[in-house]
Amino acid sequence: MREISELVKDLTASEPVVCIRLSSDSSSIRGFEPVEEIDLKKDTALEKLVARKYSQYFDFSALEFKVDKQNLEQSVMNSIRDSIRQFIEKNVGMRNPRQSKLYRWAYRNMPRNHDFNDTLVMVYKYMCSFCTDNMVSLNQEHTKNTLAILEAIMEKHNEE
Amino acid sequence: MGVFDDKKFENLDWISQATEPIDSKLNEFLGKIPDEIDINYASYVSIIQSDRSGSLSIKDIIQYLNMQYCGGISLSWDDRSALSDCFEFQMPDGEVIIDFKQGEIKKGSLKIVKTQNTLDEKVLEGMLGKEGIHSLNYIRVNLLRANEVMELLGKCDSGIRSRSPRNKVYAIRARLNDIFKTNEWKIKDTELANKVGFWIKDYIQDGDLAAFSNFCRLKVMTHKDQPIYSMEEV
Repeated sequence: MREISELVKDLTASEPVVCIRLSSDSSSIRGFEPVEEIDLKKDTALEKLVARKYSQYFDFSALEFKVDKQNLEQSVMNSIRDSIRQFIEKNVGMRNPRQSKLYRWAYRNMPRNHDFNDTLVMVYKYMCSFCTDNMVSLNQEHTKNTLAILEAIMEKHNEE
Repeated sequence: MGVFDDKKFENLDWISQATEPIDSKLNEFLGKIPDEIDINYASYVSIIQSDRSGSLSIKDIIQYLNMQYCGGISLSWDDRSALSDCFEFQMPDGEVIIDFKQGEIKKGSLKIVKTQNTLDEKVLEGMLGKEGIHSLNYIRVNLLRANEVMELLGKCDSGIRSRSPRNKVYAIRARLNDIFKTNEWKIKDTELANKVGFWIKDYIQDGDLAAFSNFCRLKVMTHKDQPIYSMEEV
C-alpha cells in the first residue's frame, strides 16, 4: 500500500478547461471533458494499474478538476486483490478452481490491513512479470512459485 | 357581476371568445422569455453550479429561465417537460471550450433559442387537471365526504356503492380523467382545472368547506354550457 500511496501522492488533475458539445437533437449538452488529458506514467505494472484506475471529477463549487486519492488507492488495491483471485482461478490447475482452498481463502478470508496489502502489492508485481493482462501465466516455473508463495501466506495467516 | 360569472372570459376579445383557446401560465411563461438568449460564462457557471452536472438538458435550463425571466413561478415536472419542446440549444461552432481558470468562454458560443411562442392546444388539453388528479393518489378518505363529491361529479355509481376507500378514490380519479379528456365541463384554464383535484382532496381529507364551496360553484358554472376561464373563489 505504501508503494501505491507514493504513486498516487504526486498525481494531479487536469486544468479546468472543458469542451462541451451538443447532442444530435440539440436538446442537451453532453460531455464535460477536460481539453487536455493528464499524461500518466505507465512504465511499471503498478503504474499501469494506477493509470487504468485513475479518474478525476469536477468540483462544481471550486470549478476545478480533482482526484479522490484515497478512493483511487482503495480502487487500485481492490484491483490487485481481484487479479490475485483471477491468477489462482486460471493457474491452480484444478477442474473447479473456485473450490480450491487457496481461492476460497483469497475470496473470503484475505486480511485487509496495511502490512498485508504491502505483501499483496509485491506478489502482484511478481505476477505481472510473467503473466498476460488477464493473468494467464506464460511461465510454469514462476506460476508454481507464486502459488507456493500464496499458500505460504495463507498458512501463515491461518496460524495467526 | 354575479358569483357565477366568468370575468376572465368576459374580458377576452371577440376572436378569443369565438376560438376558446386554453389559457395556461405556461404560455405566459413562454411570452416572457426572449427569442434568443446568449449564454455567457457567468450564466453557464450559475446553471452548472445549481445543477451539479456538466451534461445539461433543456429541462435543466427551464428552471434557470424561470428564475431569470419569470420570477421563479412554480413549475411541475410535466410543465417542464411540455416547455422543453419549445426550446433548443444552438452552438454555431459545433463545440464550446470553457476555461474556468481564466473565467471565460475560450472558443465558440452557446445560445438557447425559443422554437415555439405558444404551447400546442393538444399538449395543453392533455395537461388539464393532471396535477390535481395526481394529488388524489395518497389521501385519507372520509367515506361520507367522498360520496358527496361523487354525487356531484355524477357517473360514479360503482364508487358510491363500494365500501372501499381505495375504490372510491379510484372512481373519483377515473371520472375526473374522463371529464378532462372529453372536456365535458369546458374548463379552458389549466390552473383552474388543476384546482378541481386539489379542492376535492382538501374536502375529502380535511373537510375543508371553502374547497367544497369552490368545487360546487364550479359545478354550477358548468351548467351554463359555456367555456370556463375563471371563477370567483371563496
